Amino acid sequence: MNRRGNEFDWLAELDGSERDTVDGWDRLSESERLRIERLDVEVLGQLPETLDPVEPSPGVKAELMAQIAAPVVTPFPISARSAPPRWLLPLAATVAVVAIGAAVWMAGTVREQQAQLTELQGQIEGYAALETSLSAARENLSLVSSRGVEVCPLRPVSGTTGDERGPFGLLFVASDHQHWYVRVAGLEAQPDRYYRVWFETEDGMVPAGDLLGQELELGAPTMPEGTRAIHVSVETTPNAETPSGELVLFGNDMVRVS
Amino acid sequence: MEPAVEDRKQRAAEDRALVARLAEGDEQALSALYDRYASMLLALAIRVVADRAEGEEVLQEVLMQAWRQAERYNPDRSSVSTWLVMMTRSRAIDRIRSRKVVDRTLAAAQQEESRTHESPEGSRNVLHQERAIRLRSELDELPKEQKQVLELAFFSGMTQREIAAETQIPLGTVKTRTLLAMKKLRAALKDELRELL
Repeated sequence: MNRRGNEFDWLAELDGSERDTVDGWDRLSESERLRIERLDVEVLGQLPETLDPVEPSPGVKAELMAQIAAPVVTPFPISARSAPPRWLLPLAATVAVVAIGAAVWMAGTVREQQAQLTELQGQIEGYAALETSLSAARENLSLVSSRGVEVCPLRPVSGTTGDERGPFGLLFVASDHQHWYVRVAGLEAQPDRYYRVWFETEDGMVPAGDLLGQELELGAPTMPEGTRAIHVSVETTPNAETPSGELVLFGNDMVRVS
Repeated sequence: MEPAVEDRKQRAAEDRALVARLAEGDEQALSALYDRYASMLLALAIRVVADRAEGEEVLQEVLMQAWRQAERYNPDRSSVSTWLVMMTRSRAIDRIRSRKVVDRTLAAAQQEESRTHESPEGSRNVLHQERAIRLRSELDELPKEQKQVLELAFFSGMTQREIAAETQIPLGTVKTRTLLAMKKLRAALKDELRELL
């Protein structure tokens, strides 16, 4: 182990068998070895005294003393804190007010834009529904105006009303005898009244759907096979599987229009 | 007690006090230390680096190091003069190693050795001058081959292995010669060194 400092590392090279031979190292106690090592260091420290002294140039000492007297320069002084300048507080307050105002203005703008977006979304949905409705209307118009269409008038079921101004309807059936469209008038649309359309076949009453909207109309691309009449009943629940309410309209006379 | 030994003991005590003041940031202590050792340390630095200007840079670096690291000085390990000498030698050798001009240094060092320098410090201190003469005499009394390996190791910063390669002698022989030289110097100087331990 090198017991000396870095300045004396050269001496460590001498530890070895030669040291035993020259200094009888292995016979010495630890304290004697330490004493010799210390003496060796001092012997070496004397060697420069065998050289002729060289007086340094006159400026060397002055330069050295100037170096130690020079203040330590720190890139970011951490000396005592000075009081903040007077303008700092008003400036900070102004910045804070501006920041708050900007935040409020931005929040209002965002809310307004969100409302506009919601309104636009509603309009888009309305346009989509209108487009669907128009598409259905065009399809129905195409049906009722198509060549070979047959029409079946729906009249009030006997006994339900004697009023000539009572409900009535028309069933249009395309020439393929599948695509159909029915529209009814004179029946009041109410929340708890569902006007259910039925096709009468040999197997009984087949549900075709509830009349929809204020116009009370309905259509579909297919018709049950063997249909011989059409009925409209008033139900208390939507999508009834069998007619349980009053039958209000009936038709079975198909008339070819063109 | 002989005057030389008494003088050295006195100087050693004063040196320790100066280093203690250095550790406290006393600039005057550094100035005093400079006055005491600058000429010797510069001679050593020039002997190693073979250049006066560079030697003066080494001198400044060493005294700055002493200024900054005074609190690290341990009197149990060495005297102040030896502490400064070893720092000077170490820094000077670092320079020549970085320059990789050992050969040039050796040649120049021989020239430097043949010159004489005026030293007001040395001239003022007769005891010191006498001691330097005696030390030189002890060194000169060493067998030539022992003096050679010691000087190559100390002043030229060569390792024992490098000396063996340089002088074409076995490594073990180099070590033995170095140790014999150290042993003789130790014996010659033991009276005055005793006061330092």
